[in-house]
Amino acid sequence: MGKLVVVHSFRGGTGKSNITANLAALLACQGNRVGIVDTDIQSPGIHALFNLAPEHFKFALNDYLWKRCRVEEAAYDVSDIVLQHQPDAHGRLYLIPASMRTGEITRILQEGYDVGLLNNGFQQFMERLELDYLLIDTHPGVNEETLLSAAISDVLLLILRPDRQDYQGTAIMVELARQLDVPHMLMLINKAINQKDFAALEQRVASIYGVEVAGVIPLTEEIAVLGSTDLFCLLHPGHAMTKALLSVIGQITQTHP
Amino acid sequence: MNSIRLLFPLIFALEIVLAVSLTAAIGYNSQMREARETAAQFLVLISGMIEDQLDRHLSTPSSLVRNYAKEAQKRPGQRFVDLLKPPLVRHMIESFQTQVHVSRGMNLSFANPAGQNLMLDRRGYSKPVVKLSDAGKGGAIYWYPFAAYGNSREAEEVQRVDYDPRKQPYYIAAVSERQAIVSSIYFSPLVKGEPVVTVAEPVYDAQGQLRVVVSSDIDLRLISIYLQGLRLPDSAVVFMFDADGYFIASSLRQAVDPGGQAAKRNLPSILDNRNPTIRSTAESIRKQLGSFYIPEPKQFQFDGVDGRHYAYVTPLAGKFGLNWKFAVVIPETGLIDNLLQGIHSTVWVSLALLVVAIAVGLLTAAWMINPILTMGAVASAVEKNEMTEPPLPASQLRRDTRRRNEFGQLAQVFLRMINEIKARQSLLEAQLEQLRVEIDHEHTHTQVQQIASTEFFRNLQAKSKRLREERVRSAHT
Ligand SMILES: Nc1ncnc2c1ncn2[C@@H]1O[C@H](COP(=O)(O)OP(=O)(O)OP(=O)(O)O)[C@@H](O)[C@H]1O
Ligand SMILES: [Mg+2]
Repeated sequence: MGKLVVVHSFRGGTGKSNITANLAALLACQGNRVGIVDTDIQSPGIHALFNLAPEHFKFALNDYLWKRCRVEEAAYDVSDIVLQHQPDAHGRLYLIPASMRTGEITRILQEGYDVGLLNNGFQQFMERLELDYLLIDTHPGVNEETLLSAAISDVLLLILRPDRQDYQGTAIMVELARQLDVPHMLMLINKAINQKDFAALEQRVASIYGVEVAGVIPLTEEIAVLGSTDLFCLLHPGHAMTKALLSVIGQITQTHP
Repeated sequence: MNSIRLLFPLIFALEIVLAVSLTAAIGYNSQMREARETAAQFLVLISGMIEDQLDRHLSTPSSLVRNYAKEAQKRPGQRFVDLLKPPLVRHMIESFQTQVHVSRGMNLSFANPAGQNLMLDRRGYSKPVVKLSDAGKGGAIYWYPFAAYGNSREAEEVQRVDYDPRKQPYYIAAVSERQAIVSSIYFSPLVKGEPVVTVAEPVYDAQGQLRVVVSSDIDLRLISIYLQGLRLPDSAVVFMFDADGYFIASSLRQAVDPGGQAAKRNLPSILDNRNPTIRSTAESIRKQLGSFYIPEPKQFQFDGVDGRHYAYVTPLAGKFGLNWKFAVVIPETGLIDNLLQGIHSTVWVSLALLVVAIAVGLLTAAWMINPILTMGAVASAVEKNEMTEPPLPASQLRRDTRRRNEFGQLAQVFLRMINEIKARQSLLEAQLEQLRVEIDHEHTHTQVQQIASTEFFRNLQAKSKRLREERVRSAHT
């Protein structure tokens, strides 16, 4: 039975999409069948990391939510990118992107959709493609689909940057997740500065929120330079980010639903 | 604290002032020495010139006297008993006029033991005159122009004096010496009381009886005119005097002013001269050399009323039997004035150079000091951790980095250092910030409360567990 991992942050730009994509790629490298859903319908972006151009996808998550297609019809196999780096990998990687068409985006914002469908969609996606892991990239902040995704997740991975506003926002999200009885919460600190302090930072954040901190990713110029065009962890297997994500994977695999 | 801002330019300026003033002092000294040497050389030159001049003035009269005396000796028949006999006078006039070296200013006198005197005179008058006198007839002197003599018996001028040649110093000296002499200075009635010296030679007959005394005068006025015509350095004075300190002539426009009554006139002493320079020179000659008898050239200094003076006194060559001396006095102020005039332009150039040198020095000092001061200010600002523009002179430092020398390199190092410190500091601040995990629990609570109270949330809360379980179950089927 697959695990549903929701990647979220209270504020935008924390690195959710990058972390989701790299996590997925690392899991696939380990031989897992992995799916990704971009639920950030308002500002989609994860497809860029897999070199999937918007004109190449016929259906997106939007089409499923409006019942124009079945969920598996909106899923695209993006295993190539993993195979490029690791040709002998047995894992598979599927992505359901959000539509990049402006009309679709505004329509969703105006009319809304049946949030219950999302739950079904996740379930069907996992079942039909026999996924070991389904990773959900979310829109920042608190909205209905985020809350729904969090509520049904096996693991809620909260990304935060070490700054005052992220600390404050994350506290809200943690409290809401607790009230929704999320079975497993993890935290990942991204864009941290000064490596020497990482242990102290990790400890402090963990004790304040009472949530396990899976790792700290330093603010790295190379990641910013890459600019969400490729999967950093596949390019730099020894990097601190890769190590942090591997530790996240370690935590995820240990959890029992 | 002594700031280098002050110390540096001060040292610079001092060095320059010292260098320029040293140069100026050396220049001044050498100029001064040169001026003194010039004065000494001038003395030698002037004494030579004066001797030459006197030679000219004295040699013509003495040769004239010599010739006429010889002539008279050759003719023992000529008795000179009556010197005033018209044919003799006429003969004398003709002979005098034909003499080659009878130039302007020449004169010739004949005096006999009877007290008669005949003088042929070309001195300073519009035309030559013959002057006749007879002591036996009252001694009045009758003046006749050469051309008019004989045509009309009227004298052009008559001097009502009791002139007796036998009482004149030259006559007395010639008769007592019985040979050619040069008289001492006396005031001759024949030239209306002007001071003169006279060259005279007595002529004797075979029995040794005096026949006539031939003589010729030299006017001291002429010597004065000559001295006044000399080109002397400013405020220098040349004057002549005899061994008794009697004034003869000077380069100043000053007539020989006889003291006492016309009858027993005396030469004025240089000690009583109206000119303070001559007077004080005379006093110090007497004081320093003992008397006015100066056997050899002497040089000395003295302090007069108007400062220090350099004086040179020397006897004239005794060739003519004259005991005359002359002195050149140059006041130091005159030397300095002269010198200053000479080095006037040099002084200006030096001053201009001084100003330029000081300006350049100050600029150089500023050029060197400013970056040091800037870096000093930077260092002290950094020390106090003041990393923003004022007090930290960052723009000044950035300007200094453009210099293409060690100062520029140093400024670059400083700038890099500051940027490094700034970067480190902001990093440190960010690190502190990221460790400051603070949560406003009240705010969190209200926010959570708001969301949790919505129907959607409560609904979700109620079915979330079911949804998860459903998924797990369906996965198993
Ligand atoms: N550790 C890091 N060091 C440097 N840059 C990073 C790091 N992590 C992410 N970034 C950069 O931050 C930017 C935002 O990343 P990303 O799009 O993954 O964030 P997001 O949370 O998905 O944003 P959004 O909320 O807009 O969906 C990207 O340009 C990415 O390259
Ligand atoms: Mg994103």
